[in-house]
Formats: sequence, C-alpha cells, structure tokens
Amino acid sequence: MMFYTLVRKDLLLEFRAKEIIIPMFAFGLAIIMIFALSFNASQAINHAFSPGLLWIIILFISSLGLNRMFVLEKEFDAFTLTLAAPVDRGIIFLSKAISGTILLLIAEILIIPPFIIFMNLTIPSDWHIMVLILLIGDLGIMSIGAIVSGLSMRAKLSEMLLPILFFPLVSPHIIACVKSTNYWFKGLSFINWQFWIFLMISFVLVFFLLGFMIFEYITEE
Amino acid sequence: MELFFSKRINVIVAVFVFTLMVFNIYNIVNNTPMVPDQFWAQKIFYFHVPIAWIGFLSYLIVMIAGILYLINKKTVWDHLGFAAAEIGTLFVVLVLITGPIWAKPIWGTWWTWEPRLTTTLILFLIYVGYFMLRAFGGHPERTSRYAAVLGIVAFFDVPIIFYSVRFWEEKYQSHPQVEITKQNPEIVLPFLISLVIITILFSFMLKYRLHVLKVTHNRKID
Amino acid sequence: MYTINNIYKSFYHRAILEDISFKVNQGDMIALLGKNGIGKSTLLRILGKISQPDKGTILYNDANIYKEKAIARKGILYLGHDVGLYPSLSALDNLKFACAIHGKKNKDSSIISTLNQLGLSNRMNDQIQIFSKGMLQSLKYALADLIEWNILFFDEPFSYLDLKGRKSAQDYIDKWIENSKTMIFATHDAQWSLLYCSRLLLLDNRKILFDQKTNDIDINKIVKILR
Repeated sequence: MMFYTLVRKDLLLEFRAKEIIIPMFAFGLAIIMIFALSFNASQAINHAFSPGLLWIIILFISSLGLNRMFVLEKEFDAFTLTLAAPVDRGIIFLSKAISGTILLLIAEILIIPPFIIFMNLTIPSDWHIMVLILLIGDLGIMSIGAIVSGLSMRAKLSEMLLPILFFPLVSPHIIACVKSTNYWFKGLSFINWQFWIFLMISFVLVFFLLGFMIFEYITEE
Repeated sequence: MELFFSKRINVIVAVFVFTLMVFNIYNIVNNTPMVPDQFWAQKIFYFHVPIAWIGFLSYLIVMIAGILYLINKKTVWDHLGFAAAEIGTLFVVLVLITGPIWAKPIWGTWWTWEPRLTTTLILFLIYVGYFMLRAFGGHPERTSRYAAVLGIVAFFDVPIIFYSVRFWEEKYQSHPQVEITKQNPEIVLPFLISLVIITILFSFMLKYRLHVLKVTHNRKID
Repeated sequence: MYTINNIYKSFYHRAILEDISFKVNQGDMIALLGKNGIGKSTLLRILGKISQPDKGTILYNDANIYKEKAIARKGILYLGHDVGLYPSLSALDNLKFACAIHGKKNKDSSIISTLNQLGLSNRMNDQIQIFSKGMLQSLKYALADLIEWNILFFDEPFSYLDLKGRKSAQDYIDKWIENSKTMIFATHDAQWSLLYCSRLLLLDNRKILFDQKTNDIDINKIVKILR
C-alpha cells in the first residue's frame, strides 16, 4: 500500500517535471550518434558490437536517471516527508528500485527504435525474449543503483561519485546482460545461454534482498 | 598520544617481521626448485598467490567490521574496516602488478582478461569508489556508516563477479595458482612458509594502521 | 509518551549534543530554545527519525523507534526548517501524497477547504516551486491540519509569515492547544514561548541547560542566556 503510494509519487513527479526520461532519451541518442560516427562501421561490425553498445547506453542513461531521481528528493528537503512518515526504509528502497525500473523501461522504449535504425539492425522474430532480458536487466541495474544512489545522494560530489561506485558493482550483471543479448541476437537456443539468465536473476534477488535489509542505514543523515 | 614505535615491543615485532620477509625472499630464491618452462617467472607465484589470498581476506574483514559497526556503532569497527580496506587495496594492487609480470613471459602478454585477474581488477575499482566515498561522503560520522554498507555490498558482489567473468571467455588458461595439493612438496612447503609470513606482515600492518587511525581520531575529538 | 534517553550526536568529530535526556508527556507543549547552531534543528531531526544519533534511544509509546517496525511511529509528524514537499508537484498533489504516506485518506474536498482557510485555494494547482516562502510555510499548517498526529515536531513555526499568515498559524496552534495535543517547537521567540508553551527546554553548550514549566520562569533570565 505504502509501496504503491511511493511509486505513484515518483511517477507523478516525472509526469509533472519531465526531468528524467527526456534527458535520458536525449543523452542516449547522443551516445548512439557518437558511436556510429566514431566507428564509421559496416553492418557486420554493427551486428557484432550492438549488444554491448545497447547495454552501455542503458547503463549510462540509468546512472543519469538515478542521479536525477535522488536529487529530486533533496530539493526543498522533500525526503524528510517520507522519512518521518511511518514507512519502513525497506519499502522506500523497493519503491525507488521499481519506479526507477519503470522509468528506465520507458526510456528504453524510446531509445531502441532509433538504435535499430541507426545501427541498421535486423531483429530476430522472437523479440519477446529480449523484452524479458531488458526487464530482468533493468531490475538488476536499478536495485544496485538505488543502493548506490542512496549512498552518494548526500555526498559533496554526488553526480561524480554515483558512476564511480555504480559501474564496477554492476559490471557482472552487465556482462550477463550483454552475453544473453548477444546469444539471443545470434539466434542460439535458450538452453545454451540459460546460465546468464540465471546469473542475472540471482543478481536481482541478492541486491533486492540486500537493499531491502540495508536501506535503514543509508537513508538517515 | 603515543607514537607507535615508542613502544619497545612494536620495534621488536617490526624487526622480526622484516627479518622474516628477508628470509622468505632468500628461501624462495635459493631453496625452491626450478619449474620447467617457467624458470624464474614461477618464483613470483610464492608472492602473488599469498598476497591475493590475504587481499581477499582483508575484504572479508571489511565486510565483517561493517556488519559489526552497523550493529553497535563502535568506532573501533569503523577503524578496522578502513584499515583493512587500505591494506587490502595495497595488496590487490600488488596482485595486479605481479600478475602481469608473471603473465608476460608465460602467456606472452601483459594483460589478459583472465577470471581471477579480472575479478581482482573489478574489486580494486570498487574499492577506489570506497575511498572516494570516505573522502567526499560528507560528515565522517555518516560516511563511516555508508562505508560499512558499501563494504557489505561489495562483498556480496564478489561471487557474482567471479562467476560472470569465469564464463565470460570460453577458453580457459592456466594460473599462477595451480592446484596446491597436486604440487611437489618442495614447492608446497616454501609456499606455505611464504603464506604464513605474509599473513604475519599483514597483521602487523593492520595493527600499525589501527594505531594511527585511533591517534588521529582522538586528536580530532580533543 | 516520548522518552529520549542519552542522545549523543557529533558532526565532523565535534560534539553537538551530549547526553540529552528528557520525557515528553501527553499534552506537553514544549518550546525548544537556544542560540543559532546550538543543535535545535539537529535534535528535532533526530526525534523525527530523519537523522541518526551516534548513541542513545528514543521510545515512543514504549516502542524503540530505532528497533520497531515503522508502523510503531504512526502519529509522529515532523515539519522541518525547509519546506519538506516536492517543488515540482502542485500544492494539492503534495498534500494528497503527504496524507497517504501518513496513512490517512482525505477527500480532495477536505484538502481544498483547508487550503481555502489559509487563502491558498486559488493557487492549489500550481507547482509549489513558484510559491513564496510565506505561502510554503502556510502549507505546513495545512499539512498539520490534515494529518492525524499525536506528537508534532515543528522547526521555526513562524518564519517567513506575514501578519495575516501569523494570525492563521496562531489560530491553528490555539486549536491544537485546546485539544491538548503534544507539540515541540524549535523557535527563537522567547516571548511567544513563555506566553503559549507549557514547558521550556533551553539548549546550551551541547546540554539541556534547563527544563521547566513556563509559569515560573523570568523572561529576563532567558534573554540573558540567549544573548
């Protein structure tokens, strides 16, 4: 119930202020352009590189979005409203991770069509598997992302500290995301790469559980 | 306020540890057999592996100290976590230096994205973040708490990092650390001696850092 | 109903609060006085569980607020020195969220009538980032009126208010006094404190200098200390 209230508030904030998704989309487009121009690539190279490139873009825009999400809580000291209310810190963590995932998914829906067009990709017919990979991938990114943003939000250099902490911690998950995307893109059957999906799921479980338990120590000044 | 070396016992221990390290080097250079194909390069194994083990052990200490600090907020746990993180990172840097030195003659290249080395590198980067959080996290009372949290999070990340990089590259290469039990006892014994000596060195360094942290902390409070 | 035991807090290794202990009884209206930077706001933030003390416990209705589930903190309302609402949401949306997060369902009409009393109803759909400081301060009273609370921590209740705003703020406080609500105000206004509050806590030099009923305090004594 409280969880629903908090997620609804995060989405309403984005709906009113429009400070998260649009910058994420614009930044993502810029990265695609830079990559396309600097590699001046043939279609074969694009095909080989695109799974990795896709997740680099997602990682960059998610760190942008996470930073913005937590800065919004700092303005006007608005976070105190939630902190002083009778809401468990674990619920605050879950709401941040889930609303972050929702915002990231929306940004991905915007960024993937131009990505496919600019990179001249042909998409396998079983695209719904990719949706599943994106969903699990985003959950993992946002679970550790919410923990790390909580740690860095009050720091002096929060926008710099966030990626420095975030990228190495999330790297095993990104490896798994890239691997599964790659195998899916090459059209290998699921049996061959189920390991990576399991690795992603265990990452999601570990850090959702850990964040839920540990957020108590992060939120307070 | 007291200097660490103004205690007689600490000087004696320091000299003792130094002597042990000199002995260790002498022992490795003179009393270990030459391994075919590797020759002198193999000698680094006696340092590389114990240092790596102790490095990982110190990150375990960071996690345990973090949990204890979150439970009872005693400053000593915060200091233990910080000191272990510092020395652990120093050891990890040594691993990242000795690894390529070994790899160049054996694999013909300075760096390969080999699972253990990659895990170590990622862990090193996480701890670079740890020190930045300590430095820029805001007021030190809160930063101690945040650092404890990060130490715990980092430790839970390690097995996942290891499995992801382990299966990341299909081909599998030999390591400086080959299975110890299958080795010649002439190699195992000096290895174990080196492990014990480096553990002693580590504990001594930890004790020294803890003393320094305590003294600076007390000075700030006064 | 609120018991504070041996609270310690330091920033940058400098102790701000040392061994603060006191009991808040049902119906107490406490004025927390002290010079700037003495730790009034810090203490209130600790009481509202926004800041964590280095040591010490806080019991609310015999429940340790640092150990129990959050639901044990129901009935605590903290209104900080800063606004404590989302700048890009409208006044109405902010109040709706605040009520929901405190576990109270309010109809839009009751929120609107409260805003009307404070003269804010014509601006209720504007984002509050374009509100003046005084209007933002009035919003806190709207919030306190809409949420059912048992104990209120209010940092600087009258800052930025004009005469009209101060009048309606005082009306709300009078209403709460009438209902013998429990409140703690951090303020600089010694005169007001002696006039309205039932008890006075004076913080000085990291400690509670004194803790007395207001009817046997000489105002000159306090002014001397605060000066």
